[in-house]
Amino acid sequence: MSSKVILNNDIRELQRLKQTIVEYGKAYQIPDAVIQDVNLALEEMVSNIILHGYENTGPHQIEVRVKKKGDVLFLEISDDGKPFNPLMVPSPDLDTPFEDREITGMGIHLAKALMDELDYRTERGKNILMLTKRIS
Amino acid sequence: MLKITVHEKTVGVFTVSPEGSIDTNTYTILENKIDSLLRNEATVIVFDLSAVTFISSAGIRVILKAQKALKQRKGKVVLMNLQPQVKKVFEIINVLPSLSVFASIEELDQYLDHVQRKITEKT
Repeated sequence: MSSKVILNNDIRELQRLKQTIVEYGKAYQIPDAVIQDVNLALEEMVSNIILHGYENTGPHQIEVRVKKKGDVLFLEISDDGKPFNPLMVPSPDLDTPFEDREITGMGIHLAKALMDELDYRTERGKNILMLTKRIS
Repeated sequence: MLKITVHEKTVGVFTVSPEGSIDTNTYTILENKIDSLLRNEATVIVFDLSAVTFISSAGIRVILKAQKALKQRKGKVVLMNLQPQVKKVFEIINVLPSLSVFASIEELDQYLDHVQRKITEKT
């Protein structure tokens, strides 16, 4: 019921992540719209880790697990980057006209809006972010 | 994968039709095209999104940058043919009220005629 993918800290790896989720969705008959939402949330969170999560440029690994339990999909992202809780990032000011806005915080806002729940914890020096998405 | 077709509709008005996914890996392809249009005196950039299947915040930022640059020269960004998943992303970020969205090419043409007339009246 669960699937795991280990990614290197290279943004080209996002394609492999998306493919893994698409295949998982097909195997468990998860609607395309749910898979699209999940892939966007994962892309935002994992690209953030790859682009901003490390103080050095050495190789690192990011582990993503996907698991379906009943009609809920759980996605766990685990990385060994700087401790960073994305849930503490302030929401962008969505009432300001688009062109006058700061261009940060949009990705996390999207992930929060597309998922039903986001939970962050640290465990043995790793950042662990759990995304929860209801299928129905 | 992302393929981009650019077409100059009238002087300064460009239609940009990306095809595929505008994400962390591909947004620079779009950004480079937009930068060259901005150097090319573009005043209106029409994004025809009918063949865009996926857009991430990296893609939205390119459109935001274009809107900022065009507004300075009294131009604008126009969006057309948003697919459901793409529309949802724009709605979550509450972008649509700041941009012009057209449902069809006819609607766009009417708008462009109107802009053209305003320019002609002034000169």
